[in-house]
Amino acid sequence: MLRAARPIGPLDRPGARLRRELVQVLGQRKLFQKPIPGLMHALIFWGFVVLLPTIAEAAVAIVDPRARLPLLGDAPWFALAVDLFATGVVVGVAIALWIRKVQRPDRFRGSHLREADLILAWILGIVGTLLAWNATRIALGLAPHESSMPVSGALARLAGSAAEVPAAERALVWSHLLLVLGFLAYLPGSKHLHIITAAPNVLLSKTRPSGALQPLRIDLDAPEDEIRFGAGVATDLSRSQILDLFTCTECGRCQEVCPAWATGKPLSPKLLIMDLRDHVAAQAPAIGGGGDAGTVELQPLVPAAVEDEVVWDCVTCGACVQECPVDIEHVDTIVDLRRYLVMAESRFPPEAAPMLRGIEGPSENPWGQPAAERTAWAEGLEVRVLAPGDPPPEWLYWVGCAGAFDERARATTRSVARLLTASGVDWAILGPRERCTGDPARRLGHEFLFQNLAERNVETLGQAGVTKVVASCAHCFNTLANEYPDYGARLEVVHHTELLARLIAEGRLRPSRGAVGAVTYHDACYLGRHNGRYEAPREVLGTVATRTAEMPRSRERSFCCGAGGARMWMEEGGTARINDTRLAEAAATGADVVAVACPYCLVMLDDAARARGSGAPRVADVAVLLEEATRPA
Amino acid sequence: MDVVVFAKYVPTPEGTPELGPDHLLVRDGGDGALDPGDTYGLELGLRLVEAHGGEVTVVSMGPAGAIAAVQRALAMGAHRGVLVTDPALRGADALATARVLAACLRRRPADLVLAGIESTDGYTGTVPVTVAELLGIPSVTAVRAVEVVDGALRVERQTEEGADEVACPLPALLTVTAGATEPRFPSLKGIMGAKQKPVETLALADLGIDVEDVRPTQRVVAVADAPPPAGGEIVDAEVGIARIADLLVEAKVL
Repeated sequence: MLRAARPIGPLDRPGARLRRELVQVLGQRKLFQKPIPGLMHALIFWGFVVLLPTIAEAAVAIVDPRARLPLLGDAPWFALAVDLFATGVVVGVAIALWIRKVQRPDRFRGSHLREADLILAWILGIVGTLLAWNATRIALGLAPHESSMPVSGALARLAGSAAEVPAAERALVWSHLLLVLGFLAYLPGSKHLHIITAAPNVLLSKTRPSGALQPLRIDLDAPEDEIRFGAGVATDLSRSQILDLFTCTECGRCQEVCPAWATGKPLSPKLLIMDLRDHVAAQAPAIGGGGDAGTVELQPLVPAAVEDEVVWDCVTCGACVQECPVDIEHVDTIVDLRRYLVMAESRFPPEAAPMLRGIEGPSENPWGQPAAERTAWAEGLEVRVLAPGDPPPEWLYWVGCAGAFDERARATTRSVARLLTASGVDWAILGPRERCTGDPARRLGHEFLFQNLAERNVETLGQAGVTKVVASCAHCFNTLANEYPDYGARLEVVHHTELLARLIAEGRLRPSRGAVGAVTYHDACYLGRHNGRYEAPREVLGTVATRTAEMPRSRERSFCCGAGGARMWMEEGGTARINDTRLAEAAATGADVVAVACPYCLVMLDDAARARGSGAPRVADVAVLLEEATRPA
Repeated sequence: MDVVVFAKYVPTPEGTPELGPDHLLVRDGGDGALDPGDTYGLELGLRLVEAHGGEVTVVSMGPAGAIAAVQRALAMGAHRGVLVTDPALRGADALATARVLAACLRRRPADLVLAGIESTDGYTGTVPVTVAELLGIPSVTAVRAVEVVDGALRVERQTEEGADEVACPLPALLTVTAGATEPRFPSLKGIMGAKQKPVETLALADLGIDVEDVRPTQRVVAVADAPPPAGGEIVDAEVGIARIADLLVEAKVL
């Protein structure tokens, strides 16, 4: 299967990959994002790492009860380590059973629960027989380091004379080894295969920022069979994507944080990966071992493996990827599925078509508004619009289509403009020469449209001689900073909250504290989780609010507003709306104001606030709040 | 069922069209596109042939650049294209246009002809029914849904009060309302495939039309800017609903 899949290029940044391997696999960092399950897993994982050599010892002990490992077999510290780590595994299994049988979290819904029970029992069997075998070895005087094995020693004393029966020792070593070998034989067809695949999967996961999709580079003049439209059938998936599928352990951490699943939509990142895995496995005979995929008719991934709605439910917030202990990249795979549906079949929610038409058409923005209207927000303000040939400003303000056309987002744009001017920054806008960055088209799967816009925007920015860009929209920010370098852009890109925080720190803006009451900040996915910008907006708010409160889900574990992944342009199904869910969480902090840093978040959460009616907190951009606290200078 | 869809290449509504000294639109260099008003009929035609077999031919008359409108329709799924372009057609009026389009249909008859209600540049709304008259086939205007029953059409026609249900034999011509269908967005495969689809480019002589028959019978003598729209009224959210209701009563909508 892996051979038939799309090859991946050479691995970049080996140092970063090695470090990730150490921190994430050996250090179990992402598992500890949930402390108790993390401890459970670490005990079992570290246990098995330490216990690995004892398999060899048991294998030899089958024929020679007195055999010992070279080097390790004579080391008392190793005997102690085996004894303690084996006990750790038992504790780990006990925690796992408590989680599964008593706590029963919802994240396991849809996972293979009986298989998990069997695997836990198996692990317990393996470690139990090891400890018991060691106890009989102590009793029979076969163990060299009796004093270094407190747990086995205690077991031996507990068993008394029963431990001194040589046949018991034989039976235990045989059953231990058979359990181990049986487990190895069972592994490849089970969800526990991750113990083999997790390390290489972490190694292969991307080193690019999580918000940067891999370009397809579509050349329409190339022969049609050489153009790739994304993932239509199993063999369109890359080797890394296939490995993702077979690394999933069905732990459901992704499902637990997914905004779509939380609001009753059919998408669960876990079920998506499981469905793709089962589909690819079922297609394996059709793919053939030889990698000659051209000869057989493969079934389409959508809807054979995954139904259409699932593909469109994703907000690309990346919470699942952030949570996944083994670095499965759900979002990139979903976008690959979308790419095929959109570009090969033009199959997507019809309500998104006007957005694509707007971006594709002469207006080149999702709103389909005339480019000349891009500066309408600046009426009455002194704003320098860069004409071709003008000297470049220090900062180019990338207003974004929302900031230019959406009435609510325009308030943010005006505030940023007034603050920049008030602090004496040398700035300008591209005005009618600015186009959509292509983010919504790309997230919807129309890579070709995105590519067109990216190339032309990079050209415009280059011709304008711009080197520093400040963006208001988190999506523009992400695309300009992380995706345009693939198209030749060399820019320093900051978000307006970063520049404003800098201006306050430099004393160029002097807001008065307490001007805006109690504030809670909603992290935009494409500013926060995908780009790690958590501090600047909080620093700004700290200078203006009487009190700041954090929502239970914030920073890298923030909960999406519902508009990412081109969801802004689609109707929402499910049992609840994502924006209502998030606004309720914000309101529960008791804050008067929900501060946002992205026009999509602004529109979504403000819609939710309006639907909630009186008593709902006010929703406003950080820049608007800062301007209110700075007036009159 | 073979379907012909009329497609007009119009200046993009986002741009500011330029008029020449003869008060005719300057077509060179300006941004143009397939008239969005034509795409609803195209979508309807595509769905009909998908269900009943046959081909969709897209027919356009315009400057050489109008090939872009034909290509767009082909990318959306039309099977073949015809573009009539001739220097003698510059400034052609609605009657001349109808004569040309009718000639195309005489040359290659179709079971069903679909058109938009009116173009988004000229807005005469007279071309399709004139074509039907010239061909002597029935026409139904403002169509919002069509069903093929026993080789004839059952058509739902939008009216001010609601809808008429009209039975209509084939061949026939229908004008299709905006919103009757959700026009598909062309796939990249469609755009690439459009280049391989057959497109005929015809001049008046190919259709056997005499230049005299398409000479405009009307002439634009002056053009003036439209007066700016009155300011409108922004209704405050607090008193909104009552005020909006009053306004609707004032406008005799309610």
